[in-house]
Amino acid sequence: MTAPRGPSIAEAGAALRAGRVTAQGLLAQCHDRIRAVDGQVRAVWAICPQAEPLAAQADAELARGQDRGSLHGIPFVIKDMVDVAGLPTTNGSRAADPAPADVDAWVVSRLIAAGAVPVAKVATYEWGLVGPEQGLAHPAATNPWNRAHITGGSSSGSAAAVAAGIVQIAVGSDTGGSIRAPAAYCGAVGIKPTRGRIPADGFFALSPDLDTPGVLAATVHDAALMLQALMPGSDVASGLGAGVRGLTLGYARDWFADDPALDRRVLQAMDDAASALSLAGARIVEVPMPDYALMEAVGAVMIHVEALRLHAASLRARGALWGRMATQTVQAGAVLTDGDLAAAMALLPSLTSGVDQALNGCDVLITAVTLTAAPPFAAFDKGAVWTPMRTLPFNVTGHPALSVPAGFIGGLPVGLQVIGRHGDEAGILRVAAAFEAATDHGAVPVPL
Amino acid sequence: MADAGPALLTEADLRVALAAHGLTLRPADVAATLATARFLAAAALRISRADP
Repeated sequence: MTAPRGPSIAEAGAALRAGRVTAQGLLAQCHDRIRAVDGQVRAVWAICPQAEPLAAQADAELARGQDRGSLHGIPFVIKDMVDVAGLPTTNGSRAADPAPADVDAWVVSRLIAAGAVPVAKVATYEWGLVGPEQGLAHPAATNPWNRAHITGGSSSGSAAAVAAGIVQIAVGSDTGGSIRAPAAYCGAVGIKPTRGRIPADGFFALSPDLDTPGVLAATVHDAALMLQALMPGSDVASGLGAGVRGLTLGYARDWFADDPALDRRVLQAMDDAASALSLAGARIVEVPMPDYALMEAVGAVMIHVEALRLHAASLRARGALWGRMATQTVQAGAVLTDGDLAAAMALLPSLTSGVDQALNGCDVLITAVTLTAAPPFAAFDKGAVWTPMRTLPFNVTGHPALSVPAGFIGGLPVGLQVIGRHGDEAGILRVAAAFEAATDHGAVPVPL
Repeated sequence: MADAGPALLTEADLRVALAAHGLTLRPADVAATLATARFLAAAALRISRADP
């Protein structure tokens, strides 16, 4: 059995303004969808108590002619590492502070100010670190395309809720691929903006030098509308229909094609994606990239040193409440020193310059997000498993990057990654929109 | 830690490093934590040899 996704933001907005539906009706549709599918997907952890009054307020405002813009009355969900007033931020851990947050995170308050309606807090890996792990406060979210497979993480509930048709847009965060990987595995669009472009106030920190708030959405256009609301003064949605004719896309093919962990069907999907963009009018050139292993090493050292600094006190005081995978991941960082962190950070300028050089002569870069489709849960029965991907380098360098659906392997989605210059979210969205328009990967109904 | 080299990193090294943070290693976590710690030590070694 399959079900079509809900209306796009543009479709829902048109229906709202024509009086064919209300914000309260859209919210009720979300709740209906949660009841219908979340028993299988397990994305939703808590319902936001302010949803009903905010939806009623959105309807009242529209009735008197007050329109807050494209997100007015549109429901969204929030990764449970992000503060929503009145609800605890569990970070997926029994060891988290159970007290409710006093105020909304900046991102949440900004979306509410734009008229959007917060529906639910959704699943994350414990502390955003590692997963999936069963036996924690909540069961792990499942992949809507095949519930025996993982969502990826750590924005696991955000990706699953979008892919399952519960909402069109979701808040996530990306420290090493935590938006792009689950988006790729679940067939959603996921954007990690330029580091620092969106304030992280109210987000639980994992690695403050790498953490980046971002968005997940059902379509590129929906993602652009959400991102635009989070970047006041930007105009990232206006160029979505411009196509790719005349653009040069640097294909970082060698950067992943020889990795022994690569599923060759992912390479075929990426080659097909490059062909589709070429047929749409883009010029494709292969480009050399900085050493992947070194970029991964830098990111791994930064994450583990910073994570131990953040979590050592919690581990000492409440370690018995921590899950095994997160405990092992954080404690392993003890072998690193402040000198190791300093050496890693000393490489940031040259690695960033290396990506900038790859972008020289190109409008954007394209490459794989993950090197396999979503693995089965069974692969994690004995502990954490390394899932190969090409996401962490752009957290290290801060470049904006997104994942857009690029086909299926054995019924599971894979994603194409598009990377741009710092501040060029509009450029990567333009290319992703053209790719989405040239293919039908995002339009395949999810089997729920 | 980079100087020690990842292959030489032992459970005892890991326990000493954890003790410096007031932490201990649960028996069930030894193998997985040591594997990740060796990966990180290898990462630090790679970084130490890179040209900034």
